[in-house]
Amino acid sequence: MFLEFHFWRYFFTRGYLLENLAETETIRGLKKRVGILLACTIALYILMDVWGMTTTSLTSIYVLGFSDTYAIARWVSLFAVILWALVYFSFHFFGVSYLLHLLTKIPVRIAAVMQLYVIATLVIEKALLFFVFALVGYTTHLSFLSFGPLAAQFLDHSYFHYFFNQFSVFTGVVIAIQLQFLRRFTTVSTKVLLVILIGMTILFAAVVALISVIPIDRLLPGGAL
Amino acid sequence: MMKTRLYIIGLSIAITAFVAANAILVFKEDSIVSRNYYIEDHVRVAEGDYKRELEKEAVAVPTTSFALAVNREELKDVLVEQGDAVTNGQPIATLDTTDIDQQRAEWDARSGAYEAELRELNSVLSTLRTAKSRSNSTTSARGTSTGRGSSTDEVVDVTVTSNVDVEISEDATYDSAMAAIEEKIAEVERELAVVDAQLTSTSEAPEFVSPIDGVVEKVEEYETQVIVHITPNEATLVTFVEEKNWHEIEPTQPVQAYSTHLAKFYSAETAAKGTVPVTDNRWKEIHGQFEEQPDLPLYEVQITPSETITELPFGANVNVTITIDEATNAMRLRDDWTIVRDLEYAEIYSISQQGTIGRIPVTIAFDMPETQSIIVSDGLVNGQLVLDDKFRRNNAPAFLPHPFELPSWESVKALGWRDYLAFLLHQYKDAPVEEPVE
Repeated sequence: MFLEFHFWRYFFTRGYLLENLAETETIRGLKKRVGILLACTIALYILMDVWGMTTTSLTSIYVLGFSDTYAIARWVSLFAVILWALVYFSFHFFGVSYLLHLLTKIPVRIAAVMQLYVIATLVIEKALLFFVFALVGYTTHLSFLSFGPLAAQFLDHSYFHYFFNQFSVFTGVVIAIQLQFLRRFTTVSTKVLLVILIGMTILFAAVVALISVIPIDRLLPGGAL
Repeated sequence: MMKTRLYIIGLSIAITAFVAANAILVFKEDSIVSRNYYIEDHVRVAEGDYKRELEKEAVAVPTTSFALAVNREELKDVLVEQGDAVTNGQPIATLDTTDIDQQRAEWDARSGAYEAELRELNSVLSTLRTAKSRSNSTTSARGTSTGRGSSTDEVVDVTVTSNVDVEISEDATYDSAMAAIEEKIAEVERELAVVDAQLTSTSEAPEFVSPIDGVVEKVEEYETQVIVHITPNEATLVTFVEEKNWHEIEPTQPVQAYSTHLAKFYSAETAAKGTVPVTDNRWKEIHGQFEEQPDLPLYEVQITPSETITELPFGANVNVTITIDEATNAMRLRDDWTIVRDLEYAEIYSISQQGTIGRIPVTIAFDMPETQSIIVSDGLVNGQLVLDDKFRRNNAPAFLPHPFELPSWESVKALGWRDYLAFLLHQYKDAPVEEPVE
């Protein structure tokens, strides 16, 4: 038996998908869907960079009057976001799948399908944020879908703002999807699964917040710009 | 089943409330969450010289006019007709008087009287000048001059009286008072010139001579007097403006005059503007033939050429361009991009060299309503970026859309690997965080 994989058809009816996945050996059309999602991810990153929201630190080059250098910087920046989109996609698709496979013994091919839905959710969140930013004409350092703004009201250090900024409504959706898959395909108890998933999210949030606070450019050789 | 449904509804409400509360926290005007602004529209200001000009048609008119009045009983014969050219010292009338010495004595007396009046007027003028420089709030300048030249003979009794009584209120400008006195001085000087011309005449025959080189404009005959109007050959320019332009015109504004028929440029400057609307004036009528006059009160504006115009007939049409405002090393901006706006002061949004938005005070030299722009004389440097007037927070970082133009190959080669590495990693560094809003 094989499963004809349709991304959107199963997006809101994952129960059927889980049953079908359990009964079949091969999944048809998965590569095509992975390709489409990768293309969407790269396209979103390109859009955000062309709009400029990821290039704030380059603005001073333009202000100083080096239009030519600025144009180069922007093209390099565009190239960099494509690379970043690939890294981001790979991390979730391969990295997280393998990590969960190691921790819970979930079959890798099932973990890949699961992470496909996780990435789709994260890309939708990014697209929604980008849409709202484009609408209001500015970006905010903290996402309105996360606990970041709330943390900013009560906590002083910006590290905690960025840390809580990693916990959003969509993080909840991601954990729900992962929990649904893992419960069906592993023998680990729900409690342990929750600890693993939430623990992993907290670890990632701590790392991302650290990167947000550390000034990378000052660590560059020669002091960079 | 029912329980699950209730659970889903409850969760949806909770999430919606959470997102809504968050949205208020993040997007409210005084939110503590930092922002980076997208810059849709901006200009890079360029230093330049800017002028605001008023283009008008002007008429060549005589610089002045001398009225030579001779009493009929003394007059023997008028020697000139309207339109005749006369030279300085040329007799224009012979007099029927037996005693030339008596006539000379009378002129002598009048000359003295005029000179006395001139001295008086000049002293009033200098009083006004001092008062203006002191800038007192209220000054009263009053001068009365009575020149009584009584010569040896009993017949001669000439009295020239002129009252200069100028009240300067708090709001009045000294300039207008001074202009009135200067006008009076010019008038007396003309009278003096006429009399002096008679005195310098060496002719033994009793006659009346022309004080200047010029043209007989007209000869008026009255019951008791004959008045010969003589105008010099030199022309000056005059134009007529409505109130809107009247406010913009001030003395000594540079003027470029051009005669199409001679294809010649003259440099000139504005001299004086009338404060009384012109109603019955033949130069205004002629001006109306060159330029459509609005159905509004018109004021005379005198324009003095820097060199005397002699090759134009009176009433000739000359195009004039009056430079109303001028600024050098200034920048032009859209007038709707100012945030706070006063007559000479405004604030605009700009981006600092660190890439953050700032409100900058600028000094406005003048407005150019014709191009919906303002000319900024101070506050900006050449090449500075100026943004539109959409609200933005001070010190917030800014970003721009992708530039259209491709970089040149030379620039691509000129940059080192460190630059490229910086560009590659730069966007993932923490952007400069704005300072708290006051």
